[in-house]
Amino acid sequence: MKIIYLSSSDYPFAAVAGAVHCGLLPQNPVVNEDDLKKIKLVQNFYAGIGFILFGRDKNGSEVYALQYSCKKPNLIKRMVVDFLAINNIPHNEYRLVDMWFWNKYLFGLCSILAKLGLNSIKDWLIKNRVAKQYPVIVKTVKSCQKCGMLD
Amino acid sequence: MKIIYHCYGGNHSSVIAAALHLGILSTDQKNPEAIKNTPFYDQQNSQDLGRIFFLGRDEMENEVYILGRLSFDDLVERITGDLSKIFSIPESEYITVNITPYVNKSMRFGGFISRALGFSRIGRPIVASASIRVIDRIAEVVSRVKEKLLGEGL
Repeated sequence: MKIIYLSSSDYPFAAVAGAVHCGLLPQNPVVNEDDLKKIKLVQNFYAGIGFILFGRDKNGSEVYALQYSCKKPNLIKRMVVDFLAINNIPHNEYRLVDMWFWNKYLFGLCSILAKLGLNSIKDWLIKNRVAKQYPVIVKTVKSCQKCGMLD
Repeated sequence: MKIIYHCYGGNHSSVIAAALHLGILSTDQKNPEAIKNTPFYDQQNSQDLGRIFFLGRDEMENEVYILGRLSFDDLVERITGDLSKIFSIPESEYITVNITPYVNKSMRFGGFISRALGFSRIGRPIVASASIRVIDRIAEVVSRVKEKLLGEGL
């Protein structure tokens, strides 16, 4: 089984979820900046690097994060599912977990800051958004792990 | 081998390319009616974006697909490349072909009226007529794809 966390924004929610899943980040509802720094969140997991393999979880599933900067998460999801289907990858071989948290203003702001080269503000914004969404990310990861145990 | 022709909405140029590939359309058929009657032509809506539709098999048993992906043309390569690595799908198993550069302004205009505004009675004849003007260029792309397939012995 492959578990794929998918994020369709400039925010590395999928990468953070993958890190939480594999125990690189704590499963507490609160994350401190040191934890995020430890995994070099921004340097390693910022958009534009395709996929990340975190390794295997306790159940032996391979954990991946896919990240694409795109305002249409459903388009990305359909493309992933259909591409795997036409290549005869059975649906039970993978679990696709959408890490989409919509905030159109912050979504756009992050892209603008990146284009303007204001990386320190962009990095701060990313860390801030990740910290804010962290409880939801942890909850999503826990429910995904629970499903994995049932498999 | 899978050939995925992709364009903005997966409605017009990619459908024409796939139809030319499969022999459903030919460059001799330069009339709007033949284009309008092509399967999937001007039929898809926003919920179909990102879906990969199968149109048929060519004479070499290659599978021909179409895809609408808005302006995220660069993402097609990235997503298929990433998934190929994750699932060990050989990259020689598929080709993605971007047809958008061959679309003219009238096709965009007609397509917008038909698909985005929903006035297909007005937009469809415009886009079909405009498609005739690009059919030769799309046919060239398709023949290059076919040459590549033959060259690779696929």
